[in-house]
Amino acid sequence: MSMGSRLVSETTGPIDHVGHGVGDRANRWLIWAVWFLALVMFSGISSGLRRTSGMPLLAGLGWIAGVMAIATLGALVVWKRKSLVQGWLLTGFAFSWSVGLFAYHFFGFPFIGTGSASTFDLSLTRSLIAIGDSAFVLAVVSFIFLLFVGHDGSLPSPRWQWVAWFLVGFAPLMIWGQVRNAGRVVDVDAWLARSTWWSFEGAALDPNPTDQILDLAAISVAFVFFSLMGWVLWHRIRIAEDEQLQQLKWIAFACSAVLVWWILWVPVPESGWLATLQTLLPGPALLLFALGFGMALFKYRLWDIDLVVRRSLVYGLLWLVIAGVYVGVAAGFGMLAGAQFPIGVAIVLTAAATLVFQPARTWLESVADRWVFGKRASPVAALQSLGQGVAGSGRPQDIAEILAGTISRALVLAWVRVDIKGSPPAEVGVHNDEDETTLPVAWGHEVFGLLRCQPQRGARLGEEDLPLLEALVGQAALAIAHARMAARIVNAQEEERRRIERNIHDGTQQDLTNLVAQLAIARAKANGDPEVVGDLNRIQQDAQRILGDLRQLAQGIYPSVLRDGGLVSAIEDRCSRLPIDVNVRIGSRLAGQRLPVETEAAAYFFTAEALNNVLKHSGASRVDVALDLDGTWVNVEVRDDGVGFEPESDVGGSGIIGLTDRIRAFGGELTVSSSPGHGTVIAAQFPTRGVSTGQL
Amino acid sequence: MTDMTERIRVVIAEDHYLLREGTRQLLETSGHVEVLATVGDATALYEAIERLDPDAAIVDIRMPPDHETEGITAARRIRAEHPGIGVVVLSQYANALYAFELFQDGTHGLAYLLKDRVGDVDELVRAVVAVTQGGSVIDPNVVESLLSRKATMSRGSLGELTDREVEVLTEMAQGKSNSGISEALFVSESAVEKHINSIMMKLGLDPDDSGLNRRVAAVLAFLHSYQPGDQAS
Repeated sequence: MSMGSRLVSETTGPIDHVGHGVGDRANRWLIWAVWFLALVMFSGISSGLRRTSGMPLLAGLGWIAGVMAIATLGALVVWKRKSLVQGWLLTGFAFSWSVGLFAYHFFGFPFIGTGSASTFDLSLTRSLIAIGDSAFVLAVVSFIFLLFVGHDGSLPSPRWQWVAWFLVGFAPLMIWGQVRNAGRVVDVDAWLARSTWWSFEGAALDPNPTDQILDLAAISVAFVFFSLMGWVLWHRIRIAEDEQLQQLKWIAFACSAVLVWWILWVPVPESGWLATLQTLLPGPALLLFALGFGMALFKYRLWDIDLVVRRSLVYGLLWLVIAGVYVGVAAGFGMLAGAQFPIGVAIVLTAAATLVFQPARTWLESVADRWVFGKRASPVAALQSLGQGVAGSGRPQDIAEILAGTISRALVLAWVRVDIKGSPPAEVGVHNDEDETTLPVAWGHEVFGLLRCQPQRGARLGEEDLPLLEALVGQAALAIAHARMAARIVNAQEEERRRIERNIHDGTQQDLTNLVAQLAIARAKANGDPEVVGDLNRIQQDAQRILGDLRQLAQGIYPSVLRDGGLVSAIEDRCSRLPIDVNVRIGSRLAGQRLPVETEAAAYFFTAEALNNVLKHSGASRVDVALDLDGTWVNVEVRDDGVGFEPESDVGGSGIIGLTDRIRAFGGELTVSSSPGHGTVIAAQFPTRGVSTGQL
Repeated sequence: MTDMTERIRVVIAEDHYLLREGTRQLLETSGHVEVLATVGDATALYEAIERLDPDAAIVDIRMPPDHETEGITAARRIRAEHPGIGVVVLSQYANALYAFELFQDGTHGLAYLLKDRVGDVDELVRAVVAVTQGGSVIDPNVVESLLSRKATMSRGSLGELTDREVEVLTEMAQGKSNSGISEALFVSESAVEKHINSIMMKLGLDPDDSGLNRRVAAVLAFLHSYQPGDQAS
């Protein structure tokens, strides 16, 4: 695709955003709905919570936020792929938790109150506890199944069907135990102090052997299943690669957060620090569980779900999670301190903890930024890298490629394309359907081309990205302007050669020819006077010799054959007059072709200079000259069998440096390979497009 | 040529004023040529030829407007439109490329001479006479410049010609007769005949085709072996 100036002129501003994400709006509504629901529940619950001593407000918030986040993820997965069992398991997990929490803590205690059996309705309490505990069992089963099923929603192998059926069969038994247990609750406070998630005996003040056996069975089964779960996960991580490996790592992270919480959920004295920790732990654990699955889903496309959720939104959610954890940690520390020290000391300690954790929060936020948007180079590093890159090359093509690469890395973009007029386009990444940002590559009023780029799926170029983009493009444009100027100077030199050659041919040479004619006329008029005729003959011979010299001079300055016959003729002509063996090989694509006059001149004078070097320095007995056309490039190679030189030494001399400068200025490339005793190969390529900048 | 009773009527096209007048004077002092008109560019040349119907035209290779190879274009056009008019192209380029360009459509009635020839009026007049008779002439310097090329550049026929044959060919290119060549090279006329037949055979030309043109054809075949891109095996 050729880039047209039309595209540039249509760009009204320096930076142009186009397109709007439709899915963006729908997602935003979904998230708002979820958060609104959470807010309503929170306000309802908080009034109830205040009446209970067991559950602090903040811990309750953590629970709700965690459950809401998991429910959102599950809903998203179901929405995207209804047939996938994982979405339902995630939703089921969150749903069971919320039912359990609501039945157990939030709706339960406000209505039933706390204290001895005399102060509350025992049958209502028993029912709520039965519902809550049953829900927790379902949550645990969902959790285990979530880990058992593989990427495609199936079990690791057919044999695992037995395990699955066992789990399905064991769940009602567990639920039956919980219901039976709830039916024996007499004193809520006493029961709360002894309750664990696996306990069937807690409610009974006088446990019998059946309870103990059930307890042992429950704890054994749970242990076996958690071990199996870990084994399956470990096995999958071992054989996974790339993206799938990242997904599994995040899932492992999510599950360990929940497992840590469950393992710590043991009977403890009610007023100890461990009890406070137990109270505070579920919220962060559930949030981290949501974070793990969220990362696997959004960043690594878990279960092949292409969630069209803006990365900025994901980042926003992550920020909320981090802020929540931060507030939770600070408040939790404050509560722990409050339990141990006088209120004044506790406040000071809490304030200190807040300050101490502030850098951690900043760090976490930057980590989240990297997770979501990828690793970015600092603006200074980006500018430095671009500067170093363009310093090494004068070709607009190279500059375009360096610019595209640098921008793609610095701003972590999905797609960058740089079109410089007269050069092939430079493209990095894959085009997507995100908003396109366009920016003209221009210096002053001179527009060299256009930069187009797209952020990664779901991302957006930030306000702080645009100045960096402009700075990078500006620097590249300056480099191109310099390269163009160098090319203009070189081309102006060649133009000057052509002008001098014209003046010699049409001026001095004609005058001298006329002089010769006049001498011939004078000789004819001399009527055979031998002395005069002899003088005139001698003068005429001198004049003709000068004419010959002048022809040679003009030939050296700018060969007429180059202008009238082209590069191939001129090089053949030049080679034919060398005093050593020459073999000229003209590629079939170049034979009979005329190229832009600037390209022909650059390639010719390069070859002539290289041949001069061969004659002067190499002591070669033979030289091979090869020319061919490769797409839009002319390749020239001059190979001799001379003494060669050490490429690192100065022997190559100013000749090669001069050649390099000229070719670079022209937008070409030069390679020299030589070693002492093995001759020298000088090869150069010259562009045939975008070289008409010499017309001043 | 001294036996010529009627002067040859020519038109001169040359954009350099002094040289134009110099050439006119020179040709007129020879007594064999009558200059009907001198013009400065190709358009004026075509007009003059339509109007004056000369025997021959002497044309500068570089003329306005572009000062490139307008003279060659004009020569080929004149030969195409007026086959009876011979054209001598005067050039400052010794490169064979230009001669070959001139002879693209055929060699009859065309000469390629270097401008230096204005110093040798006899040679110039001989070329004018040759083209009016339908013959062809190539400047010896052009042929010489080819001969100075190294044998390693050889492609096609050149490598097969002996040194003596190349010398004979060079003389042929100047439009010399067999006797003229034998005089110039100090060999017998029969030896020249033998060499020419050998050259013709090596260049793949019909040795029975007689006359001036077969000589130029030989030179052209020789020149052709140097044309770019013509990678004869």
